[in-house]
Amino acid sequence: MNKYGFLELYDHNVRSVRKIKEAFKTQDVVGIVHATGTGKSYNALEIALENKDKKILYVTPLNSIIEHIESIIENSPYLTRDDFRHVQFKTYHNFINLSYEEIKNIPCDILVLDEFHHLGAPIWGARINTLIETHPGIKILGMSAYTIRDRGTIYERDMANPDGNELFSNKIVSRYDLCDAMIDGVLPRKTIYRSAYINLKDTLESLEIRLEKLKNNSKDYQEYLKIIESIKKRIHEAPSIPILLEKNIKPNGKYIYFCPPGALENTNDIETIKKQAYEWFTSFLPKDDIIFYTSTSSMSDHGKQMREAFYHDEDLDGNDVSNKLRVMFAINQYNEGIHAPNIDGVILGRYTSSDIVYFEQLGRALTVRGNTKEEYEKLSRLSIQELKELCFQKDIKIKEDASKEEIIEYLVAPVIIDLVCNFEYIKELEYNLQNRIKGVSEKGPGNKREIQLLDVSFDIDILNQDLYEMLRYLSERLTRTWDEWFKYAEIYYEHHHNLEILIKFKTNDGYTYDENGLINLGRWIFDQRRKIDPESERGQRLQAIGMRFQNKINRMPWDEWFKYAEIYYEHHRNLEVPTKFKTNDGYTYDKNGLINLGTWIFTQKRRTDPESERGQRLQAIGMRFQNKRNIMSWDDWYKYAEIYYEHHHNLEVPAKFKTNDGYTYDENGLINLGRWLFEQKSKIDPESERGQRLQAIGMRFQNKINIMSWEEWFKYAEIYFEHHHNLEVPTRFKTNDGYTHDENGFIKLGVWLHNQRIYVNPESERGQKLQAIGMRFQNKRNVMSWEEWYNYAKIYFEHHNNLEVPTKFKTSDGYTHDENGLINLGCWISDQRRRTNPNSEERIMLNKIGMVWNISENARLVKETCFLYNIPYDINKDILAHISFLILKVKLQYLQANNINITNPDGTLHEIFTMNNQEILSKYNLDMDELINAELANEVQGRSI
Amino acid sequence: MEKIYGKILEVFLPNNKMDSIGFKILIDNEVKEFIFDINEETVNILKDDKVMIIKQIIDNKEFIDIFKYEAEDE
Repeated sequence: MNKYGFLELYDHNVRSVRKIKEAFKTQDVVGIVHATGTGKSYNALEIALENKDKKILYVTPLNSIIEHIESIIENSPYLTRDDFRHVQFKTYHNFINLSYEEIKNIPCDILVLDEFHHLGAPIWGARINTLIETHPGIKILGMSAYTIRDRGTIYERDMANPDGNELFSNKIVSRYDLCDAMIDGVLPRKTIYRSAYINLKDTLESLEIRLEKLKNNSKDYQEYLKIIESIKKRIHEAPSIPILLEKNIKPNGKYIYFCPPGALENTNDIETIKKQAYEWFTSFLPKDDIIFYTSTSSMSDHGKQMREAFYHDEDLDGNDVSNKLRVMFAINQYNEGIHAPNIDGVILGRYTSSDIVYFEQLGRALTVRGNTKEEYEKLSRLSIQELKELCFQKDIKIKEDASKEEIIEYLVAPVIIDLVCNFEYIKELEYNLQNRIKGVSEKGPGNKREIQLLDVSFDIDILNQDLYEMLRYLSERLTRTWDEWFKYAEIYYEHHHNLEILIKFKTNDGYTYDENGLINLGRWIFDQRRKIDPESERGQRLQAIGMRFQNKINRMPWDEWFKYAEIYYEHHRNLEVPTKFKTNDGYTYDKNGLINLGTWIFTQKRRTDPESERGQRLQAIGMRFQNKRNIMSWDDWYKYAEIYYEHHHNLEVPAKFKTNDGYTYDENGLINLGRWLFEQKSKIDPESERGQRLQAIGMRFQNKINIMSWEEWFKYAEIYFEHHHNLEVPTRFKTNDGYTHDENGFIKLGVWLHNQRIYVNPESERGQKLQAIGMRFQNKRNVMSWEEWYNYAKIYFEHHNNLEVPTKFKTSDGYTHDENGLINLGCWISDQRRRTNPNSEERIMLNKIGMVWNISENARLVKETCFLYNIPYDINKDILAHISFLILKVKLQYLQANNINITNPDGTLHEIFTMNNQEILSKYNLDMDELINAELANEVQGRSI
Repeated sequence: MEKIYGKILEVFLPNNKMDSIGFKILIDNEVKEFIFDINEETVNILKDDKVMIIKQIIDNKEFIDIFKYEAEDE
């Protein structure tokens, strides 16, 4: 037993394991690309055995692969499950519904990614990326037969693209393909390949229908008619599928039948296929001697029972059926990684979707480690003449001078029955194999590689190949009607939700790529894009299923896109462009629009650096760049802060305060207001507009002056008093010790005392304490500046949407009536109405916040305006009786300019009449101040009523 | 435009809908199900993530987008 004896590794796997270990010394990510059936999983199991002190996470595409790996362990004479207790198995699908925390908490030092080309699937790939991100420093081993996903489609992606930045780019340390495996004798040295096209009659019928649409006297029609008639005669003479099966299927053999994915019910779904196959097999075998199994990924436990029974040559009741024909019907379950023991061959009933799928299916048939040895010994006991007779019965062609050993090799060779004419792949494999052997031989005497292959030519027999070729010829030439092509385009669109088809895309069903497909849909779409007028009826029909007539999306420069974004912003007052929004003018939705603005904005959010010049330009028109925090706009957050303030009368929000409504704490709340406010304290300049807005609702910015308690401040005031024997502290007095002025002092004692003088009630306990150290309280009304009063008036207006302040209205915060409030706002407004100079700046300022100077004149103008604009006064009396004419006028002008209805269908005014300036700014991005300024500028001296 | 906030309770792949991803989302104590196209944003939304859904009606067509918000390491 060699070093790798516990798993009985083949030489090629011993070599690749060494390469993996060597590579892990210098890199964290290592990949191997080995053909299906060559035992890739053994590499990972060996790495696992040698790293028992590590946590290993083994991810596969299917549960059935995990079952297979577990069976390898169980069947090993040297190993037990205990040897792999440190290995956790999962499917890629298992990650879909895991949270970030759950992924983060998966124990993992070494990650094994089986069939890693599946990482190209967006969701699986994203989840594995999260796993890698949350496990820094892990080692990653990837294994696959192929590195490319969705070859030939628009989704094609090479997960080891050497010029790309994929996980396995330039990380592949070992490659071992089917040719290598056959040369080394790892896979069978002989293969029997039988192909026949099962859809001859159906294809012929559809071609006949098409031919009928040609003109009867055309030259082409006459030519094609002859071909069709010839095919018709020969189809009846052609060997049927049951004959093909009878000759090549062992009555007690074991086979996998690969069915097509995405099947249509009653057409090619797995049950319909089973019924058809049952008819074929019962034409030459008693029905009791046929056992069918099914395994699909949706079958769960029942599928597992089926697989187990198939593996162990039993029926579902546990009876031995090894002397009967056993056929497993599967779609994807057996393509990747699952070794079905002792199978005699595969039946390919799946249209070619890609070379990857084809060779995966082939690999299952070619997989060794079956009971061929037993069969070989049985045949060895026969004479060469008896063996030749057996070959004749099975239609196996052998050379006249073939040795007994060669004949037996043919008789035990796996059989591939291809019912969908995929034979070009096997021919490609044969050609590649011949070239490879030639290359190995030419290396000369120094070459140590021993060629185990007996014969580089496969035994390929393609029944009805000539008929198939004739049908294909006809199909390519018989022009389909435009509507027929369009139907295929529709099918493609239904499956792929777009019409972005590669020019080389061929298909038979409209949506699956098939290299040998008879319908070159990619070419047709390409031609339509150039030939058809987008405005024509056909152009319109194509656009309705996603046709993009111009390459506008690709050709438009960034600045042109930006212009469309600007137009959108101008119309919608935001840049929350839905991902599916298409347009031709920038703001109207058009499902056939050529400007896919939604996609462009989506891409910009992810690709453009918010700090770049482009990022700045986009932000200026409302772009919300994509990161986890700023998905809510600043104004969205501010609204929640305002709500908090309104309820709690402060903004001392705990850092962990979460909420859904802005004021109630909710442990699971989605709005983490505490954290946002905490961040604002360090991010926002208190002097900036945002800083001012926050301070207006009680924000305490982070400096010493704000974080000190009242008692601490008072102590500094006491120190001042002790040194200076008064409390006449200049407003700009700053200090660090309480009595010495320091330009850079942290303690702004002058400001604090100034505020105390305004806010503290002289009769209160604090007021008394301050007076005890010399505080001179003043009548607030006398010490407050006009601007300070104005600010209170503005707060009132923002809250009440008018400036009809009752004369006796007192307040502390500007909008709540407080019997003991020190701010007698009602009185001040009344004074302003009487005293303000009609041409003064103050009057203009008050106009902006809805001041009504002459109530009856204002009411007259409002009513006249209502008449002019057909606004029902009575219905809207609650608003109109309190609004200033200026505010009414400005809002009406805005609505008219933007073609927005002034009233709702029930006659009530548009909502902007009930919203305050802040709400209008947030919802419509409309700055009322700017509008009023503009209106006032239009008036010679400002309209003062 | 309507912004709705919620928390992902379940991520699933809808049957017979290729290129789609489904979410069960807790919104105001109710579980609602949404199906979205697969894109760079939606594939990175995980169970327990907090999300914002933007619903808009433009030219009589309703658009619904989903965005992830707030850090996972909260």
